[in-house]
Amino acid sequence: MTTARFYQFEHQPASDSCWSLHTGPDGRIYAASCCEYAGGGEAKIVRYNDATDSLDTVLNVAEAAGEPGNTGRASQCKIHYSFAPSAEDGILYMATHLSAPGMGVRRYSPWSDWKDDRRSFPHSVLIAFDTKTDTVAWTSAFIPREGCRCLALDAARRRLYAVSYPRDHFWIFDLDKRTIRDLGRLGSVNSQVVFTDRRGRAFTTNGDGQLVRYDPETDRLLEIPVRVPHAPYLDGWHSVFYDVVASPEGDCVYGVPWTVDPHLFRYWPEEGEFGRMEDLGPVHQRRDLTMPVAFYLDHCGGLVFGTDGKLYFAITRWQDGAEFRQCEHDAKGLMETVVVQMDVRTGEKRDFVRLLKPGSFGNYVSRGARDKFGNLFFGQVNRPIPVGLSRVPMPAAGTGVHLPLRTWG
Amino acid sequence: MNSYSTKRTGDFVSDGIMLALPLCFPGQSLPPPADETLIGALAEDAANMAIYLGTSGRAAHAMVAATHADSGVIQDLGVIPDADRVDAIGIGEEWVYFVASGPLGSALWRHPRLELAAFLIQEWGMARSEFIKVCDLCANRRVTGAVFTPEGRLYGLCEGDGQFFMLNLTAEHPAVEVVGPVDPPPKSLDRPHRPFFSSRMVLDRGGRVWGTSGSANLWHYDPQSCQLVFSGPRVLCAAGREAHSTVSAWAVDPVSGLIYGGTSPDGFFFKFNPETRQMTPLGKPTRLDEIHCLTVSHDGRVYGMAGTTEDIGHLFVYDPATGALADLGVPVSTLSVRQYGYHFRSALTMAGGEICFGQHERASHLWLYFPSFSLAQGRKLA
Repeated sequence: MTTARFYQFEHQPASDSCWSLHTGPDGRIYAASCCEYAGGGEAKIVRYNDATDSLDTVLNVAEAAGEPGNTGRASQCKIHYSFAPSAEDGILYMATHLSAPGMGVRRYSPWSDWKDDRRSFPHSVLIAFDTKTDTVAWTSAFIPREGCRCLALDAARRRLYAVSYPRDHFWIFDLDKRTIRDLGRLGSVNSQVVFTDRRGRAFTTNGDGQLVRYDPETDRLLEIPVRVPHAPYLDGWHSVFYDVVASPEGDCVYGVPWTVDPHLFRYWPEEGEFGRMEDLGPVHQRRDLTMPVAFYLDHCGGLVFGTDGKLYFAITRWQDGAEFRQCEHDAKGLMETVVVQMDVRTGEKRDFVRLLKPGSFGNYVSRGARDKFGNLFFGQVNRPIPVGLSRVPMPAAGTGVHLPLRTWG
Repeated sequence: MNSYSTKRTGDFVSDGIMLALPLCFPGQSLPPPADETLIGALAEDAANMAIYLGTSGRAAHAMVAATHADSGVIQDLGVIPDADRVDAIGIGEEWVYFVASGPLGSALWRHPRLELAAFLIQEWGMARSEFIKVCDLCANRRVTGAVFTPEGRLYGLCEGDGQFFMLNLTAEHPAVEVVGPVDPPPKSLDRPHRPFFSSRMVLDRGGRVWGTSGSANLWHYDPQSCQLVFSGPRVLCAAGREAHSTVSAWAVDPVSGLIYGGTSPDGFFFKFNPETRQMTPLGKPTRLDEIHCLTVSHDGRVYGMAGTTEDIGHLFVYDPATGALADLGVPVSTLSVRQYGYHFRSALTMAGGEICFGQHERASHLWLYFPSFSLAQGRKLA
């Protein structure tokens, strides 16, 4: 198997999660170093440096947002699935998310602290980071009182689409007017992705795993009769999008849901009135179905296409019995994270690389991305703190091979 | 103001049980499009153990919910023509009446009253009837609020000028009779008058209709004199906010005859004795602005929902026996569907004691609430 190298977020010892990792407009890899457990935690943006083979910190998100971590209010602690690069102007858009309590506050709940002017999250902030100059081009208040779970860019219409947390509303941001519009509620469980098709339609899911489509031609958000595939013993609840990547041709997407026993799916959004969904089957092993398990154990993410046209994604593999441990840390030594390589034409899969951390196991890959040289990167969540990312060197494929850019988080 | 206490019981409602019901026959039909499901009106047909509901959004649906025995369905009766909002629902002898509004105006519609739904685990047959237009209401305008009386009268308010009207449903040809504006221009006004009034009205036990207009003042319609009376007291509001304050939710205690009210924008809660005209402030149940619905349970406790459309709303309760006002938390359902409920605009207490809330969001559900009960006085657990 190929080998991977883990890069810890050493600059930020409290970093406890890497919820987002993305290819920037410049073909370099950007990752969110998040602090969601520490009171007053601040997110920072790191970038892989090819010259030094290390990570550079390029942005303190909280400072850029004008919301330093010491305000006492729930802090700007994360960029969740909310990177959206614009190839045309070199801007990497990012929107902040919530979950860390304010500095000195022991517990924060976005529900019970709603509208508490001392403790609540003031608003998500949109940051336009210019990757050509490594400066913040501009910022804007984004979603009032809520965090941004996921983000997508429609460069042609100069719009961003977003899903908010905790109210699970769908939002549209006008990049020229810098105004945001609320299209209403989706459900109760956030989809972790909004993606767009070649017609500029935006797709996400409600909490029951039903696809919800926004059509800019009709300006209507509509549930469509398509469901995310799931295991037959599940009823579809919580089968929201977890990670979705476009095929190299751009005519379909591959994805996995945020639920147990995830099934890989392929969806052709432009076929017929509602598109065509294909269930490509489970990605994980069988287990005792009488036991509800944590998503941190039974998790698949980090979907990315290599320059070889093959799909790569990270799965969890565990020994029997790990599902009876309360959390993934209790299952240390019983589980591992493996990046699988899949030939999407034949469906053939093989283990490609095992992800490790120093003294620990690789776990919970949030996102994957390909840099301008064709190397693969995977963002990792969970201990040991600080967390980090893994780099998987790939055979030389030239430069500038990061295109087309994934324009959603 | 010191006869109540507030307490918090965690993030979510844990006092009693809430169930969110999808607006369909689960497993057999689909709800209407999510942006046509904002529930704004409820009415109970107790004889048939049914709840009628009306929605708003891109289209207005009339629906009927059957939650007892072997039913457990919500049937979509269809889209009311030319309407994007159902303002009120009345139960008649043979018909169910819907006041509905749209961009072109408002009208009263009727639909056959349905019999008790049953056998819905085995087999069923459900027909969809046409809505029959009874008459237009406000010409080229919406109705902003309406109430039905048990005797078959409809009282309503027209959008814009706030004309209060009535209509006799038992007449052979029901027709609108305009009574007058609920916020008439002051005689000394030397500039254009812009009426300000609440869409919410309430019918008291004496047959009077109460509402708010102008600077948070109560008005009422007296059916004996057929007159609007403007001598009511002012509704409680924060200092200097009189010009913005209205009553945004009402409920009558059918036993005591007291009226409970909630205000906008302050979110204050009060009781009002329509006989003595005594207004008693009861506090502010949550930190949120606006109270949008209230209902009195059979044991006299008052339940309500606070919060604007942009909030995470809270359920609260007032117990007149103790004077306690409690924030019960954010509505949540886990035993039917797993959903949070953030905004509600309608409530009623059903004949069997269950409390029904109409969610007013995209992708709404009808919610049932089963309050918890304490041991009756004198009873002790072994």
